Amino acid sequence: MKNFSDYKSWLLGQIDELGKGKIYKLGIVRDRSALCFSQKNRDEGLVMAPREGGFAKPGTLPDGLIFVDGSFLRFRERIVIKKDGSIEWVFYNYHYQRPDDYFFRYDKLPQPHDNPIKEPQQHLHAVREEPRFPTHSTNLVELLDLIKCNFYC
Amino acid sequence: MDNTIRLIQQRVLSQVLHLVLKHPLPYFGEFESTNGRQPQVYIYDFDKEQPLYLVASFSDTLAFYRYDDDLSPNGRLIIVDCEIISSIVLKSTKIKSDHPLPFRVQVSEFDSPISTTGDSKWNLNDLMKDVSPEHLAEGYSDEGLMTREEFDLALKSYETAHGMSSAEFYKKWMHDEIPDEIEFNMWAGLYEFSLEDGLVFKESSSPQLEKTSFTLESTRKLENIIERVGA
Repeated sequence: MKNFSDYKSWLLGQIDELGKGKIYKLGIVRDRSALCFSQKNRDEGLVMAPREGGFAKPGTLPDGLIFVDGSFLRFRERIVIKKDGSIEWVFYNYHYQRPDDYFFRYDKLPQPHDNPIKEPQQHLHAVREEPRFPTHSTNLVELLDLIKCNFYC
Repeated sequence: MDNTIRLIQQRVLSQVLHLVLKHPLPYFGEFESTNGRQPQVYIYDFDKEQPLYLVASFSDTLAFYRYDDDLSPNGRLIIVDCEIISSIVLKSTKIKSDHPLPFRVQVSEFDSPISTTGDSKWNLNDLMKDVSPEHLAEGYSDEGLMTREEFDLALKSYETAHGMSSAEFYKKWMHDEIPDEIEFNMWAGLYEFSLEDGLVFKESSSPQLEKTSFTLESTRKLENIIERVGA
């Protein structure tokens, strides 16, 4: 049966594929050393980058998953591997930001908000914190593909 | 509305005693409730062959929706995932109709939790087939896994950066007194995680594991050196 450790291996492999391997010339991830994992049990865990908190100060390097052009992805996701091998994303925040401060963020709340119109359980922030646009359920790998296709191809 | 559907509505409504949804469905434009209000409670039947989507509002009425090409571009109602029906209690386990139905009504399947998250596209059994051997090498699976000390330091870094304890922050966070920003989302997630029992940490950083910890940049530098040496 697959578990959180397998997910880690798969995820690291996927990220590395973005930086080398088959699409080496289109390598987009410069540094993934801030990526870290915390495990609740065999099947469940937290993935995030970076591990440390604090807003980036002007002039300092970005933190998180760093792309070749200085863009970065700060994120956290909590996943559960089910018995059939399917992956459930309990919640996530994927915040992609470019050097010119353009950003978007996909969020999934662990529980529905009291006001699901104002704050849908799965939503997207685009450039501004509000409004929160309802969106589909996504995940880190799908998002990296989106970033690659839209900003690096 | 079709009389048959009205009849089914009445029959179902009269038999439902209690329904608990773990996560109610957020509002989506594809829904239209019969009374013009957004339904509050939902039941789904995801039978692929004869799909029935049933949306119930328990305040005073019950609304049904079924497979309809007009409902979404894909010909299927757009349902966000992670909607889990925790339980449903009915007077009878199955509803039958005396009339030929335009669609199937079956509620007995709701006795057990139903999850719509089982997307085969994201099944590790299949995904792992594409993982290259280097990512399955011994030691690799520990890469990035935090030790207890690293985890505590990570939490402490947020407290230092924002000048308050995690407990104090979390209290404010829960009362919506903290901006919805990635920084605070991450802090809240880390703190929530820290409150859970039985977390698994890497015991200590071994030299062997540190050796396998690399960045793509360092890998490329190494590749460049090797290339130059080779030339």
